[in-house]
Amino acid sequence: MNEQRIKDMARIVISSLESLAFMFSSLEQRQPLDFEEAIIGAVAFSGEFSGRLAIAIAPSILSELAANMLGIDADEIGDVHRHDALKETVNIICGNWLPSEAGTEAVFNIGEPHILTPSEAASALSVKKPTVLATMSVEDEPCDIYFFRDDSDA
Amino acid sequence: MGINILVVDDSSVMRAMIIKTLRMSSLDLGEIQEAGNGVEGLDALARQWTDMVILDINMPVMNGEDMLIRMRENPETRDIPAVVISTEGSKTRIDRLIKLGASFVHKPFTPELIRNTINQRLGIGGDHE
Repeated sequence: MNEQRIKDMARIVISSLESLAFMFSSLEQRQPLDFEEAIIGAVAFSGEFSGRLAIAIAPSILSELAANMLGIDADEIGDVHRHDALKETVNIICGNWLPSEAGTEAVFNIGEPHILTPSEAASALSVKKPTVLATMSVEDEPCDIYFFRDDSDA
Repeated sequence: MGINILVVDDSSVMRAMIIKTLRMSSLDLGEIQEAGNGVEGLDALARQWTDMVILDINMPVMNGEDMLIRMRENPETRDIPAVVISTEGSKTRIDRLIKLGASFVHKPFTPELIRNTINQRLGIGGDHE
């Protein structure tokens, strides 16, 4: 896997989470999260090429992400807020990543983000090697970014 | 009388973030309406006078670009200032939106950028980026 692509992906995640939710994130070397221990948001896209991007994040940090995005207290955050915040984060990171992957002339249609169950994630994210897999931490909690290009075997 | 703004985005979180930013700004706000896609947005425009539309691009049912085209075709809505807030990275598509008379703000955004863009479109004084 191209190290530069991982760094480029991390740069977009770091910048996006800082702007969206005032949260600090960084790349780290570790095994990816077990899907059973994560909340997973994913989005598919088509256009210049097709594929999908997914984020698997520790549930413990998702309330803080949602609270910071919405500007409300963490104890007011429910599952709907958590899931909506993750879906919007997936959408923003995918939208910012695609131009760095394909250039700014390429046109993509980004689908509707959705939440995957652990078994759906295992089917969708484990059957093929990701084009990019960035293992990161967000406020010291694990967060993994998966990117797949359908035209690539990574 | 305050400025009536319509916020069109399929993400309830993003609508809440935009509305929070609007309320934190120094704008004299009137009513803020919400819609989840372009069809709902056009319905809202037909129901109530709106001074500005803030809209996303990638939405189900009707996307933001199609909504903008329909707005510009209708004499009642063709002159309403529009600000697109989107993750869109394609220069080709952004150029098309600008030709439709929209300002473009890239997600993720800062509150200052939203405020300055709206002020600029409404011709309100203040600092502009």
